[in-house]
Amino acid sequence: MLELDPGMMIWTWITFAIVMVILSKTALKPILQAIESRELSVKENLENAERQRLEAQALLEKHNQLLSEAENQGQKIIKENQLLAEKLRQEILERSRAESAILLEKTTREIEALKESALAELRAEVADLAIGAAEKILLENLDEARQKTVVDAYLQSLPKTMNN
Amino acid sequence: MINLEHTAAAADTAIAQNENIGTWIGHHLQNSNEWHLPGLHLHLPHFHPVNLFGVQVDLSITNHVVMLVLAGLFIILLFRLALGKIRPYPRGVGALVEMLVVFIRDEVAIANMGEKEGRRFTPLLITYFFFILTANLMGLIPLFSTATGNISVTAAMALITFFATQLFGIMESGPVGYYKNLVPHGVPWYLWPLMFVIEIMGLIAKHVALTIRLFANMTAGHIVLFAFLGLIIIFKSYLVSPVSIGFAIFVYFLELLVAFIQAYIFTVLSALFIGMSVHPEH
Repeated sequence: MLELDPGMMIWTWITFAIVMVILSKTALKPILQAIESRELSVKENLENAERQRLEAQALLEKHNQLLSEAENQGQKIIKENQLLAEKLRQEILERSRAESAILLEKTTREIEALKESALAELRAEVADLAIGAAEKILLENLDEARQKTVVDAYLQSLPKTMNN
Repeated sequence: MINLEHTAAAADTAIAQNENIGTWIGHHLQNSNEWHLPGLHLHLPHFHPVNLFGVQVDLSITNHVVMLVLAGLFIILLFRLALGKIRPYPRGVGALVEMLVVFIRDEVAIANMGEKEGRRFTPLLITYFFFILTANLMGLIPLFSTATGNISVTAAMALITFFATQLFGIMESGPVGYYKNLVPHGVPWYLWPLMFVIEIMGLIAKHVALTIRLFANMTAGHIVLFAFLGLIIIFKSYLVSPVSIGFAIFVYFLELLVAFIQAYIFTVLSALFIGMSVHPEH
């Protein structure tokens, strides 16, 4: 069992050599090349993916920054507008208050003037009436009863319009 | 099943010819000029020994030669099959073959020989691995025999490694440089002759160990396997068969593992030896 058989050894060499030559020429070369090119492409793809990931991350960061900036700006604009609106409101309020005060004063003054003129008119009328009544009395020179009827009649004759 | 048939047939012949179990086991492990197939006894061609440089060489096509050729054909077929389906991504049988190829390239060749030499010797190492693995596994298939259980085959394989180490070592550093590098640096000059002899012996011992390791591993498992089955004949009782077959199945799976491990070890050690001879500084 432990004897070396040269014939067997030679056959082993022949078989091994033929298998190795055929294998390396027809199969191993293309397989190893394919594996290598695939490894290369996988490596490249991984590198590309890594680079793109980094780019995407940078882009995302930039976008986030822009977004937050825009938000800040928006907030600022809203605040400004709020302030402006508040100011405007106050101004309008102030102005309308002032206007209404002016109007009120003017109206009051007018009413006062009207009242004054009405009183003056009334006073003149009353004076006229008294003068008229005294005139009648003086003209007629009548007794008391007679005077009374005269005044009454006079008063009766006055136009109703004076009542208001 | 076939083992059982074999066992039954062998039991008959053993009883008829008064053969003992030892010769029966030996008969199964040894090379022969026949190939027993079911219902067919192939008588393989027998040639007269030729005288080659004073050595009688029997170049008959024996059973183990057939096994080796079949193993070779199987590997070529396997690689053609894997090659026919090269896609951008591995799949099916191709994926398995590629996985093993990449494993041997990266973990065996490049790991033991360096980037440049590893790539150069990858085809040799892949052929080693697949050839030995297929021959090992064929021994586990009924009707086939274990060519790697023949010491001539393992010796021939180890000699390929030996010649590769010498050839590529000499090609790398020249004949004088190569044999000078066998002795480690820093050895005093008066120890040099002794160290040189020791290193040469070590060189031979390494390859003899390579031969014996594969041969012994492949033979031992089969001896144990047949011995367990032979127990049935020794005891002449079928009551032993559950135990025998149970152990035989266990040993069979162990052999399956050993087939892979030995193919791997042979490849790794070959890579290591060739790597050492082309990188003398190690």
